[in-house]
Amino acid sequence: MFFTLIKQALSIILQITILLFGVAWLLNSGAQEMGYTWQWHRIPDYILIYDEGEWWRGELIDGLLVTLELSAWSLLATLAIGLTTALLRLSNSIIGRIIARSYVELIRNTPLLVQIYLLYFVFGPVIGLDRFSTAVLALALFQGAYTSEIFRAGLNSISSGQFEAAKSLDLPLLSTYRYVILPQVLQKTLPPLTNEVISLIKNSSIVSVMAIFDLTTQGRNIVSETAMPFEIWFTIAVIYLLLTLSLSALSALLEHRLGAQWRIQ
Amino acid sequence: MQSNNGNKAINQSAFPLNKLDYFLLLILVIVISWLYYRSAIGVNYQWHWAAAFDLIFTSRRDGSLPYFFQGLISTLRLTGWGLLFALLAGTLIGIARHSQFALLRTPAVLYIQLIRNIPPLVFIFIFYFFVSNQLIPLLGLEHLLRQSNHNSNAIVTFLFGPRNLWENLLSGVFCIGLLSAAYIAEVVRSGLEGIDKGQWEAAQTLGLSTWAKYRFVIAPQVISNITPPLAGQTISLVKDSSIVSLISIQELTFSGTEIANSSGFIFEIWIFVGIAYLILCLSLSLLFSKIESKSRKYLVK
Amino acid sequence: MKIFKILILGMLGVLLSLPTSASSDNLNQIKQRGTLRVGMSTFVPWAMRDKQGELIGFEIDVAKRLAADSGLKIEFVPTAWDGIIPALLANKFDVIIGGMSITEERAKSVLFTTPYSHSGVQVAVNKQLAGDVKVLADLNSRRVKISARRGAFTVQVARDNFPKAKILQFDDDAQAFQEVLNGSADAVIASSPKPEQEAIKHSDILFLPFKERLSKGNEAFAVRLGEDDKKAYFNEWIKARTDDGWLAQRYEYWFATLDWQKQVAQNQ
Repeated sequence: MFFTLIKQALSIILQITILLFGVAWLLNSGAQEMGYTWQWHRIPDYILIYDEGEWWRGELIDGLLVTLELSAWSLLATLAIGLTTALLRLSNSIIGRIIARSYVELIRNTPLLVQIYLLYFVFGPVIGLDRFSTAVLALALFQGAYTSEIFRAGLNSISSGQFEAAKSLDLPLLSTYRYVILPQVLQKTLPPLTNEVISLIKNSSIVSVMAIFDLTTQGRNIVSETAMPFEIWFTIAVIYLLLTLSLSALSALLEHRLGAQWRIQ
Repeated sequence: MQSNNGNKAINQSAFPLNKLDYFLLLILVIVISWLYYRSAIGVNYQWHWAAAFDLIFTSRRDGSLPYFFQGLISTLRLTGWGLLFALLAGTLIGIARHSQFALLRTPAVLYIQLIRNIPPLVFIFIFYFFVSNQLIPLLGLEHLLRQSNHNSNAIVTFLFGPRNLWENLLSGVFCIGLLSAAYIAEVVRSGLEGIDKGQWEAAQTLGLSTWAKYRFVIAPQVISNITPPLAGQTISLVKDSSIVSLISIQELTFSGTEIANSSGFIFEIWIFVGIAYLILCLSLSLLFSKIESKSRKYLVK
Repeated sequence: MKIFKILILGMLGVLLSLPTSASSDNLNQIKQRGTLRVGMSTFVPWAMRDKQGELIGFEIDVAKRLAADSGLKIEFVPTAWDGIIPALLANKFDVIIGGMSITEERAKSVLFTTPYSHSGVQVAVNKQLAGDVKVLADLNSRRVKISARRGAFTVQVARDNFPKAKILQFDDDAQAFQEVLNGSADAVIASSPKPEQEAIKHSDILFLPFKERLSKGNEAFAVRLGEDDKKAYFNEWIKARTDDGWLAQRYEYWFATLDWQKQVAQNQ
């Protein structure tokens, strides 16, 4: 199994390399037309610098770390918001269902960019959060709406027989959830959830309008100061690709292992 | 929350508010009053709802639609043409993805993987710096879009907007169209695959002409299959159109930014922009669910 | 298969290497077209939207007068500031008239005319967060956050004067100022007289610690490299309008007075 994964990864990398060469060659001719001079030699400076006998992180790596940090915190908040919303949706409380439903519809029908502008410039000062937390909140509120649908589907798919069986075994409610329901929900929702993580990382790039120093913001700043958009954006795209592709591979791996263990049908 | 399960049988009254409801209501009241208190005390801002509302609805100097609504119509045009482009491109890419020739299949697969794995914003900036600058001259549209000066008639203006913004519209359409095409490729593919083989064969047996076969047998089923994901894609298109404001495409978010910055009514204008998108997307959802229910009418499932 | 790929790539490469239209006869093209296309960015009060959504401002006046004097119609192409030079190089408009400061770095990509205004750069500071700032060195600390507009000359000035401070770059000046007003940044650096005007408007939050502007500033039109005929033509016009005092008078109206605010909104 491992060997096939490696083979697949290698073939994808080979194809990407060939295509990148083709694209690079095309762009080179195009750029020469515009009188553009390539400055690839400057890129490594933005990744790692060796100065005064030590390695220093370049701006792009700083940005990458911020992106990862942002995504990690947002993931936790997203899971919390998503799960709560899903439970509210499935609960018996009318108010709860209304709140959950309106929240999901509101988020899904407005662009993330507008939500960020509203949250940061309008509501942020009201709530009194700092920049990073506002970004985490904005991303979590956005992604939470979609994640709640995944949780709702997962919870719905647990047959009521499970609940009844647990009851007949006289399990207390908390234990029912902890040992019977949630593991099954987890197994069903894990693959779509990893997609949510990838979405989070992609959406995190929009927080650049809030001047959070994530990878995309660093890119825009460097481009506007040095006028070498091609090299910088290429590099950034590659970094994001590596990040998301490795997450996808992880997801495939997880699904393979969890699925084999838990497959009931 | 599941503790209410036991109350299910009991709580059949006409006004079924239970413990959870009251608890949530209490939380809502607390949150809203706290927000109100904070906005009154914590922020140094005076709300100008009337003036902002007025501003949104003020017509242009030459009597045409207010700038805000011109932006909204731009967004509609972007969405409409973007959807068309994405459908065409998506279908072609979907076909390429499943062709036997690696020459066609590989770029298609790589393109789809690329779009699905990099942030839309990064793609948009790459597009802006690479493609936009090369594509217009390459397609020979430079003269049409930038140099000529005659006026166009009303129908053209209605469909494409004022002449000086044609290039803007085209760049925007390409950009969000390319973003959506990757997802639509998958949607179309699964829609076509979802048609039972028996349908094709039955139509053949009945001696239906190709046109009749597609029109009465295949298309209704495909349309009803792909309408839900397509509805989602259209709404995504509307939302992506707001991101292209960052590369100076003149649509609603861009106009909103200009109006907000010029007038200083930052809060009010952004809330109006949000409401505009909300109304737009909800109407589109409604439209699509009508189309879906209509196309299902003739199907026996 | 491989030959196929190479063939196709080759054809595309040939297509791309076909010469695009030469830019040195752009002045003739403009005259033929009859319209001058001007790239600018929203930046109160250099260029902004009035209540009717029309563009007004100092830059707008300058551009309109330039077109009128040349017998041309005018067309504005609002563009995000950090992408305005690439847009010019991509032929999306003929000239940048947006209060663009002359810098060495920019001069590598564009051709500047003679300066037509001298704005300089100034800093407005949040009283609550950094009320004790008196000299430049006070803002040069790792704990200080200064907001600015991305792609603007002010970013470089900030880096030169306050190398240790953290520079937050926003897409718009309005957002940069909002940041300081909200208390999320200690100071904002922007082209004069914007900081001065904002400090008056929000005198309870902002103040100006430095009497002298940080940089004298020379703003000019920008055209593509090699377009010397355009540059000469614009230089002539700038000289004429400087000599007859029109530029100074317009500058006075937009920057020294606040009369134009009625056109924009009630509370500006």
